[in-house]
Amino acid sequence: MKRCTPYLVMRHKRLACYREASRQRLHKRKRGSKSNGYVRPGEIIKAPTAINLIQPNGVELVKFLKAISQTVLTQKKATRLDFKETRSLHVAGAILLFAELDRIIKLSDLQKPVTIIDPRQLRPREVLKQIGIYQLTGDSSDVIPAREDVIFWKATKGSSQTGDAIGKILEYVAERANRDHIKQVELSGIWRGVSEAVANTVDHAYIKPRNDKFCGLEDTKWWMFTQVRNSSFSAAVCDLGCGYRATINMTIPEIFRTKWKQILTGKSNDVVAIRTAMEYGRSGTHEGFRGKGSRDALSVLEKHGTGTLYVISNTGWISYDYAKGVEVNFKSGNLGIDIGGTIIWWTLPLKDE
Amino acid sequence: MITVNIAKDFTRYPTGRLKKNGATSGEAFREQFLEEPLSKGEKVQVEFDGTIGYGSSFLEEAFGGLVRKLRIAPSVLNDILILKSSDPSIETEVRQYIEESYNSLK
Repeated sequence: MKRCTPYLVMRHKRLACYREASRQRLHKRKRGSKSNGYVRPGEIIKAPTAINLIQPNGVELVKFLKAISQTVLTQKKATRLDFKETRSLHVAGAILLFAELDRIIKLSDLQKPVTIIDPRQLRPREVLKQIGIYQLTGDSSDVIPAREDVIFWKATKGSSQTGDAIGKILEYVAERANRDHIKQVELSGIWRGVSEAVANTVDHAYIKPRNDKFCGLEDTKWWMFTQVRNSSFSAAVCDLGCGYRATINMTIPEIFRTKWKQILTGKSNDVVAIRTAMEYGRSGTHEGFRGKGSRDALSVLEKHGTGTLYVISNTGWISYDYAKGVEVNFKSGNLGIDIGGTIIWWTLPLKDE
Repeated sequence: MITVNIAKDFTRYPTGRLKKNGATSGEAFREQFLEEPLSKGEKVQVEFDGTIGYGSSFLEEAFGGLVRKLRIAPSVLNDILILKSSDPSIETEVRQYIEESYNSLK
């Protein structure tokens, strides 16, 4: 055992004092209230416990992202994102976090606008590392993702419709999904939905500026996620464009829009816009050039047999559930907050029906 | 007869409509492999197998776009454009785009 010399005693006392002072400083800091999800822009911004877009966490997540944007882009201050209490990340929330952080960091003039404070739990730390959040912010993390339900999260992004990057990731994740499950993921079906979602994003998502005047990044127009978890294959495509509400007037004939506005009386403008676009694609009445993207999004479910498609745009969302190749359930709702973009998200179960 | 295997000669990952948005688009494929021989009346066989899959934008622009650009009637095009795929729905879809595209010209 090492002898406790007077020098070592003094050193330990100094370290204890330093740690105590750090604790005191940390306790004195003001933080946003957790109860209503409001996060004050400032030096440290606390991340939600669940990075999820399903209510009520969706509001908390979007407020968190808006606080980062306000601090970094409006106040031009660097910020630290406190993920200590974050316990879980879900596909739609994680892709929005990934895309919005990418946007904020690219638009900022600051040398290092965002710094990550690691989650306490290992799994969310592994996920943040795996999906490339540390790489975006320029932070280092010594975590090596190893869990089976983490290493098959794959993220990519791009500005064109060129398919190589998306195709290779889909092949890799689908191969893993098919290795361990009886029900197989059919790549050609997924490719149709995902590649058309990306093509639509490049074609339509940025033709108008969104509410905060953001018109799109030069080098990134879309972000994509794939995941295999809990015997389900998920793929999601996200853009930070103007959303369905702003584009349906240009892409869908007035007669069709009026009809669906009447059918969906009482629903929000965003829900009406998303549903109208989806139904236009399905209707078969569309012009040769238009409306096929939404039909292709649903064809993924038809081909796989079972699954769920979520389309989230601005404040609205709709979902289609399929079983045995036919639609069995339709839902829609409001998030209560504008996510500033569109997410198309498929979940395909890998267990037999 | 010219044979074009999309996976081997063009890309395994065909996607998108216009070449300004990506090099693996329907327009790029059409210009590179279809327009010249078909405009001269040469027979072209297109093989679809081997790719990851096809989006409707790619197929519509490659084949529907061919009709819009060359203004060939489907009855003529069907004789000189041979489609080969293990998935019969692809041929049906492509023929439908050719038909729709021709009807839109009228």
